[in-house]
Formats: sequence, structure tokens, C-alpha cells
Amino acid sequence: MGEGFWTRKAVAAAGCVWVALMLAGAPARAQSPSVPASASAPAEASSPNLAPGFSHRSAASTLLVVPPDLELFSISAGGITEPRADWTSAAQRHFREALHARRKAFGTRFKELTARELDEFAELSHLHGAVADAVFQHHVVGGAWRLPTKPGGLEWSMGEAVAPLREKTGADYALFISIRDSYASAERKAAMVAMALLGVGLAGGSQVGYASLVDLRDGRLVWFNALRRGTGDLRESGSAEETLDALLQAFPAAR
Amino acid sequence: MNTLRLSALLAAGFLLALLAGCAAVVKIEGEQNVKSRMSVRVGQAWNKVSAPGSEQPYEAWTQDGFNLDHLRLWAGVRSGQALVGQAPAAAGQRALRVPVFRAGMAPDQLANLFEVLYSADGSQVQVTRLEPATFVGEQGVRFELSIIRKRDDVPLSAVGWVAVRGDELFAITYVAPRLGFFPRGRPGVEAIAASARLR
Amino acid sequence: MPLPNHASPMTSPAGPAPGRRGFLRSACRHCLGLGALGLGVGASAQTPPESPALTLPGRFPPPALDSDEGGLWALMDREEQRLRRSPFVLRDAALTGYLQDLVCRLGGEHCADVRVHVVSNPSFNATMAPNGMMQVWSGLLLRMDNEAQLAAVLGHELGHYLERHSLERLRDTRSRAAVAQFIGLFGVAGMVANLGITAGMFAFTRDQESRADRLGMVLMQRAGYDGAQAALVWDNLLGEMRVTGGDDAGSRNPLLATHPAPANRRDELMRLAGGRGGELRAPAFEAAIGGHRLEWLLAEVRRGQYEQSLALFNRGLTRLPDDAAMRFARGEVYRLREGPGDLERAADDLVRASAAPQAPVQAFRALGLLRRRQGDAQAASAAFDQYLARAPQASDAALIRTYLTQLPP
Repeated sequence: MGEGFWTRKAVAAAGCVWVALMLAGAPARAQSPSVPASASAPAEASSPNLAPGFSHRSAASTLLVVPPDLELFSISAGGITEPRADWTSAAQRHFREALHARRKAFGTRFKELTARELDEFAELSHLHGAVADAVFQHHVVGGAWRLPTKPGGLEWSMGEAVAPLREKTGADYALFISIRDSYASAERKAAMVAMALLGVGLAGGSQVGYASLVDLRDGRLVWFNALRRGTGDLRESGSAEETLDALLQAFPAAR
Repeated sequence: MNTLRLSALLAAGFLLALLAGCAAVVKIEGEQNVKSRMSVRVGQAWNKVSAPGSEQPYEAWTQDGFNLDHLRLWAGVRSGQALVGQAPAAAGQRALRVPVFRAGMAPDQLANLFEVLYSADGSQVQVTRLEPATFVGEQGVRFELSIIRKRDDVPLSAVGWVAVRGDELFAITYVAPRLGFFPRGRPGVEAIAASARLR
Repeated sequence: MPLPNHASPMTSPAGPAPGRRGFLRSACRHCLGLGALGLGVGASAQTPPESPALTLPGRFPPPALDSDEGGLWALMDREEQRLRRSPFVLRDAALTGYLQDLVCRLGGEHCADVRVHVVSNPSFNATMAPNGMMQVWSGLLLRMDNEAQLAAVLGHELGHYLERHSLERLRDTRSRAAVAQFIGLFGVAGMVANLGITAGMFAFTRDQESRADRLGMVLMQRAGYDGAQAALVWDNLLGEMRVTGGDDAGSRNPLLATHPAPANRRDELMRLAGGRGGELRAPAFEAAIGGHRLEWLLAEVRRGQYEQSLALFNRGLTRLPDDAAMRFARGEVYRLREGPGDLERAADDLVRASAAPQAPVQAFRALGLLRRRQGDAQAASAAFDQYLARAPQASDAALIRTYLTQLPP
């Protein structure tokens, strides 16, 4: 995906082609995670994050944290993104520490699923990923893609698909986190400065991700927070905490 | 969640949010007229998605979004016509296999069209059930498939009906994730198929 | 932009001076001195190469995380995690164990670092990532005639692994974007399988291919296999690809796209084999693979690439004319293709397949459908009856029963 401004015509053309592809059943193709420079929206207000009728977790409820799915990328001068495993490993470490530091926010009953245990729930994990994508498209972004049969907004449920996870762990809620984070490399930053002088905006990098709270008793997604911004840095521990804070803003308390 | 797919959706979503008139998602209920040739009755509301300027031989409906479930309705497909308008092949990629209906096809061949349709993207498809059934008042066939979606490993289930009147094909298929979604959606879809009539 | 030249924490095994320029100019950093064994260019065609006396390098310690190699390992570990969770992986302990044992026979102590995963995919492919993750696709297993051929392929891949060709290729590339594509090669779907990728950034060089051929030959012969089988593997694969491919045949096969054929590969492999003979171990192979073959034949037919499937089945039936499953598969392809003369060819194959003692139940179904198509009601009924007798609970039993009632007595 290239850089530069998108004219309304280009936007319309690209969007319509994308819709056509979706209807033809073509697979969505991987693209650079950079977003147009104009879109640095702050985190959502709290009520669209909640499913209708849900406001908080009960004090006695147990929360299961599923291993976060993190991937960090570097953007080269030409706008190509490449995965950076050293950054990802560092991010996983910092994120894990930040999660632990937040134990209090989660309430007293808090469990973690290990990566090996997640292997047993691979189908559920893949399914949740598909649900999260649908929520992103039709609720978070919404607009022309809002689904009229979901007037309450966040109205998705995995139903009894979650039953085995509840049976195994005894937890009442599960928290899924996923982040795709890209950073401009030094070369890219230099290019950005140069292009800015010419009046062209380049996407520097972005954080795109979600935190999703699922009620394991009925499979409903009860809380969903999407992150899409041009700031944030998971590579350093202080900023990893900040990212987690942004992700878990207005996370439903247990009371 | 697979690498970058979320971002692809997001980026495209931003573009879509900026333009109103390209995609239309409308709520449909009650009696529906498909391609002027087939009518069905829906007990619950569905979302019908269309893109002006990109016509497919079927209508596409969904409950939770195409990434999760879809209901497709074909009506009046003529002999020699493909079941899906060809998505343009990406540079360097081989064009996908596209199933073409031909008059005179046996019921097992009609079902096979959908096996080909759903495996065209590399997904693994198995026919788990294939039986004669009345559909749109004709002797047709009902099939069930189990699909493993290639791009994100999600196991899906599918149910479908297909019949021929004269030299025209009529069909309905419903695909949704095996866990949770398909069991929930199937009864409603069975009712829709049972209500299908030719116009 | 070139990758940073991180010093590898490993000491290189016996070989010439390390360093990128050294690699680019002369023998590679991790090469195993095969020249000393008389396998180099100068060896006379008259003199068969020496019997293998190669010392393999010791096991590779895990690299530092912040090195370029370490970064790749971590990414591939995550790919492997994805692989473990994928429904496309065949979870058959006996089959995986068989392949793992074969790797041990070929690679010695290295097999402790290698994890074999069998992937359900009808294309011919096997990959080995630098972190020890090995994938073998079911399409490849279907195309092997015996254990020696499988040993040739795995030995070849081990050759790339032992000499660290992937890492050298990666260091050689000039674009960091290559890293993402490189990882894609080792995903379950394999990026190469999805794209019509031509010998691109992650193809091995022809020189590396030659070395892997030579090293693979040494490994397989040391384990007692007949080296000539290696030549047959490539011969067979290319034969199948050429049916539809022409020059860009390689671009549509994942393995060929990353393993460009060195000149005269087949002849070179025959020369390296040196007429020393060896074992085929066909019965052991059959015992391990046999249970899956029908399922893989069906998957091959389902690809809808009829010409390639016919090339494969013709070859198989020439070798084993009594293989009922293979004969059914070929008949089924003719039946589905319905080209000029195909229905008659299908009839020949399906009649013969269903008459065989090991007839797969699907052969009766196919014969019934064919006869029905041809208007031969009596033969169709007979075939359908046999199908339902053998598989009363088949997924399409209800439809076949209906066909039976519709056929005139």
C-alpha cells in the first residue's frame, strides 16, 4: 500500500473494488498496516464499547487472560513493513509485566492461560479472531458497514463455542488481546521529514489492535475496545504500560 | 488473528467510512424477491449487502458479517453461466476455478458445483451429506459441507439446496463457523429454503 | 537496505574464512568440505565418488535473540505455534513418528533439533526452516514410490539446513521486506503455494541446490538407500509439471519455485549415486503411508488439475498396474473431465478398479455414476448396489438410493 494523500476519487474507487472483492468471496489481502495520516482517532468513548445491558463484572467472577497476540513491524523507507522478532519478543515481555502490574484492576480472581494450553483451544482462538475482525469492520469502523440488524451496536456472540474453555478453567470471562504495531525505521523517519517539506503526508506507523471481553457463560462479547492510533511504543516497558492502559481504558470493573 | 488482515480490513474500512454510496447494507424481513425469479420468506431480519456496479449471479445476506456467515441465493442461473462473477486474479496468481452450470447436469454434479465453489480459494471441503430434496417445488438435492477456511484456519459448516427448472438453476447456501454460529443459524435457514418458491 | 552485519554467535564449522565477502566470493561459510570427498567438479565421470566419509557439524545452539538469526528463529517459532494450532496439520502419531525416525537415520544427532509436521495439502512440497521446523506436505508423500525417494527429499532439505543456506540467502538479500516473505514460506499455507511466485528472493541459488543435492546424496547413501532414486524424484516431478507448465512450470509448484533446477540435475544425481545400489525399503514405506493414500488420491482429484493428476496416475499405474486405488483415481479424473473419449477411458479404469480385491468403495460409486451418465441402467444399478452394500452409511447414500429407484429395472 503506498503512501501519499488519498483523493476522494481514489478512495471511492478503492472502496468499491474492495466491496466487490468481498462479495465475490475473494480473500482479504495482506497490506501494510499504515493508515492514512489524517486518522489518529483517540480511543472510543465507553458506551459503544459495551454490549447492550452489560456494565460490569460481578465481584465474585473470575477473569481468564488469554495469551496476547502481538506482532511488531518495522516500516522501511519505501513503506514496506517487515516483522521484527526482537521487538515482538521485547513487547511480549513488557506487555506481560504490564498485565501483571494491573492485576488489581482485574479484580481478585484472575487466571492466565498458557501458550501450550491455548493449543487445545485453537479453534476457539481462530474463531474469536474472525469475530473480532467482524466487530472491527461492522461496529468499530461501521459507517456504511454498520449492520442494521444490530441496532444495539456490540451484539456478537460465540454461543456455546466457549463452553469447553469455561469447563477447563472455570472462569466466567475471558480477555483476548491482539495488537499489530508498526514503527517507522530511522530511514522512514528521514523520508517522512523530507516528504513533509514537499507537502506530502506519510504514515509513520500505527498501533492497531483490540481488547475483547467474552462472557464464558453465554459466549457474548460484552466489551470491546479497539485501538487505532499513530502513537504508542511497545518496545519499551514504560510505553508498553501506556499501550495497555489505552487498550484497557474503561475496562469493566468487578464490583 | 492472521498477520495484517485486521489492518487490511481497518484500512479499507476507513476508506469506506469516507464514502457513503458504494456499499449498501439494508435490513430485510418478511417476503423477499430474489433476482425477480424466486421468493423466500424470512422469519428473522437479515442484512443484505450489495455493491452497485458489481453484479453477482447471487444475492448475499449475512447475520454477523461476511467474515463470519453468509447466505447466498441464486435464482435463474442459465446454462453456461458461472455461479460466481470472477474476482480479478491478482498479479502472478492463477485464476481461480469457477463452477459453471450446464443444463442436463445430474444432481451429484450440481452439488459438486458448490464443492468447487468453496474450495476455489484453497480451502479444504468435504461433502458430509448429499440427499435428494424438494426445493422450489422441483426435485433437487440438499447437501452439507465441512470446510476448513484456508486464510485463517477457521472450520466452517455449510448447508445448501440446488434444483433446476427448465434450463435454469436455483440455489441457496449458508456458510458459518462450525462452532456456535452454524448451529444457531441453521434452523432459520432451513425455514427460508422451505419457503422458497419460483415466480 | 542491506541487513545489518550482525556477527553470528556461532563458530562456523570446518571451512573457509567467515564474512559476507568471503561467502559471496568463494566457498560458503558453512559448507562442509564436500570437495574433499571427490564430489567436486573436477571428479572424473569415470571414477565414482568416494563412499561417504563426511563428518556432520555438531548441533546448532540457539542464536542470540537480538541477532538477525535470532530474530528469524523467534518468528519461525511463532509460525510453528500457528502450525501446531492449524486444522490443516495431520495429527497421526504413527506417520509423524515414521518421518521423524527417517530424519534421525539421515541426520544423526541433528534429529533432536528437527520437528516434523505433516500438512494436509495436495501440492508437492517439503520445507525445512533454520529453527528446525520441517514440514512435509501430503501431496509429496503421495508422489513418493518408496522410502529411498522420501529419504532423498528429506536428505536434500537437511542439506540446506546443515549448511544453513536459508540464512545465507537471507543475509544476501538486499531488502528487509524479504524477511516477511521468507517467514511466509514456512506458514501452513506457505506463501509460495498461494502466489505464482517465480524463482524469487527465497529461491536457493543453483549452487546451493547442487550442494544440497550432493549432501542429500551422501546422507541417504550413508543410511543405506539407493541413491539413484534421488534422480527419479526430480524426473517425476518435472514430468508432471511439464504437462501443463512449460517454462513457468516452477512458478506454480511451491517446491520448484524455491529449488531451481541446476543444469543436468538428473544426470548429476545419477553420477553422484555412482551405481552403488542400496535399499528402497518400499514395504516399510507402504506400511506407514498406505493408510492415507486413498484420502490423498481423493484430495489430488479434488484439485481439479486433471492433466497433472493424469500424469501422476499414469506413472503410478505403469509401475503398479494392480493398484486399485490409483486406478479408481484415474478413472474418476476421466469421468470428471469428460473430454473426448474420456468416458470410455473412465469405464475401462473403473470396471477394472471395482473388480480388484482391494477395490475402494468409491470406485463403485464412480462406476455407477458413469454408467448412469452413459445410459446403461443395468450396469449403473449393479454398481450402485455394490456401493450401498459396502457403505450403507455413506454421506450420499440417500441420493444413490434415489438414483437406484429412478433407474429402469
